[in-house]
Amino acid sequence: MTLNSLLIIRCLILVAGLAALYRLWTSTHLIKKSLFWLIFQASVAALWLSGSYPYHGHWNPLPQVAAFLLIIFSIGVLAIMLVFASGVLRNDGVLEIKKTNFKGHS
Amino acid sequence: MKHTSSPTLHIFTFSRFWIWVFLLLLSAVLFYGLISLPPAGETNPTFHVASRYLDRGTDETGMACSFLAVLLDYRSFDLALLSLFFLSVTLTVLLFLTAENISLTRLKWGWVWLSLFSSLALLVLGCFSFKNGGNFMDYQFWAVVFGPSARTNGAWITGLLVFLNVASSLMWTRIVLARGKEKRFDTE
Repeated sequence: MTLNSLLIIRCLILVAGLAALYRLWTSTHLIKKSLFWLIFQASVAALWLSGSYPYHGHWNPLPQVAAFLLIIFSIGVLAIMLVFASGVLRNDGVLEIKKTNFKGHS
Repeated sequence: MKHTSSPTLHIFTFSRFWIWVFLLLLSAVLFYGLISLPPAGETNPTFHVASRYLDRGTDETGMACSFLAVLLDYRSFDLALLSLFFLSVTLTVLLFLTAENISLTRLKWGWVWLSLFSSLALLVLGCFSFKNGGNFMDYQFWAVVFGPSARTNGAWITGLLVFLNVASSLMWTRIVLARGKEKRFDTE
C-alpha cells in the first residue's frame, strides 16, 4: 500500500460517509435523517467516481454508471423517506420520532 | 433491589452499541476495498471488463459514448430494476395519497398514469421480446422492426421508458408532497 494524496482523499470521503451513516442511525429528526442519507450516498458515489481512471485515452465508464445509478436510486429512497416524514408530521404534528418502550408506549 | 434503567434507555444504548460494531466492520471492509484500488494513471487490470467495454463498445452497441453504451446496453438490467423500484415509489405515494385523503386535479393524475404506463410498457415489451427473441429486450426481436440498428434502438427504447418512469414518479411525489403541505396548512 502506497500512501498518496488520492488515498488520503478517499479515506476522508469514507470517514465523512461513515459519520453521516452514524448520524442517520442515531438522529430522531426525520428531515435530518433524509439529509444524512443523501450525504452518505453522495460519499459512496464519490468513492465510485474516484475509481474512474483514463484507460487508453478513455475514461472508465463503469464507476460513472455505478455512481449515476446510485444517485438516482438514492433520490427515490429520499422521496419515500419524505412521504413517510410527511405522514408522521400530519399525525403527530412534529418531525421527531417518539422513543417508545417494548410495549410501544411513549 | 429495584432495576432503575428504563426499557427505552436500554434500547437506545443497545442500538448505539450495534451501530459502532457495524461502523467498525463496514469501515474495515471499505478501507480494504480502497487500498485494493490501483493508483491513478495506472493501466489497471482490475477493470478488465471496462477495457472490453471501451475496446468493443462502439462496434457492439453502435453508441459512440461509452457511458451510454454501458448504461443503456450492457447494464440495461440495472435500468429495469431501477424502473421497478420507481414503480414502487409511485405506488407508495399513491398509498399515502389515499391514506391522507388528498384530492388532486385530473391533469396531475397524468403523472401517475405516465409512471405506471412506462414501467408496464417496459415489462410487456421485455417479456414479449423474451418470448420472440432470446432475452429480455432482446435485439433479435427488435431486428424485425429496426433491421441492422436494432440493438441501438432497443437500448434507447429501454432508456427512454426508464427515464419517463423515473421523471414522472419524482414529479408525482413532488406534487403529492406539496398538496399534502397545502392541506395541512388549510386544516391548521
